[in-house]
Amino acid sequence: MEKIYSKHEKDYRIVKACAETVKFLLDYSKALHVVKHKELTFENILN
Amino acid sequence: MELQIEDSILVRDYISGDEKSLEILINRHNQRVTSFIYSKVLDRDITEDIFQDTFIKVIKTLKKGTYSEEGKFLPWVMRIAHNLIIDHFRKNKRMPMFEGSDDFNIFSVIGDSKLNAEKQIIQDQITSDLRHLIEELPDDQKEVLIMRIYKDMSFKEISENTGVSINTALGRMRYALINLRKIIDKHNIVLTNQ
Repeated sequence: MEKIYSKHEKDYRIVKACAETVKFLLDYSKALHVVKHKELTFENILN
Repeated sequence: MELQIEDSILVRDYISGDEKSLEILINRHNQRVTSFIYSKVLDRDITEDIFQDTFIKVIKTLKKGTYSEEGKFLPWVMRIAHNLIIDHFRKNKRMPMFEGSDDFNIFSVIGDSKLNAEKQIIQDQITSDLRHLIEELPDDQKEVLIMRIYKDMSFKEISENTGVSINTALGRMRYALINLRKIIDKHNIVLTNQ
């Protein structure tokens, strides 16, 4: 029985990142501008 | 297979400037990536942090145009997440984190005995007030009290230094304390630091 029922059932529950995190990433993506000049790459966060 | 092709199209569109494609990609893989991270770290907040860092790396790589794994978007994202999970455990190994629970708070065991700035000011004020109050005592009582409290001398040593008997020194100390209390009560002085 011990082998059948895992003690760590909650360890495998399905979770999703919250809406705020997703929104942050989308906003970050919109704000991030990558500028390349010759061999240099510049990252700009534009609000 | 079809899903992978769709991913690759979305990646291409995103690189071309279509921000909506990123939203679709994140929402499509949110559950798988988050569940994977959570299954390793078993902490909801850390999972959110690693998920966020994973996609920040994804966004930066795609925007820089250095992404070269066309058609293998999810395995690539999972690999980034996996590396960040390893980083997290490495960092924690160097600096172990202890989180208390509702039943046990670590700060109930580990305490800072130092007074905070406000309490230190109050403590200094009390010390200063007490010194002024002691100055109000008759000289013989003041002498015994200073020797006992500030110089930490025994009553035997006090009697030897002042040339009086131990009982007299004890009596002077007692009257010194009684008189101090009287002055404190009379002027409604508060000498506490709570």
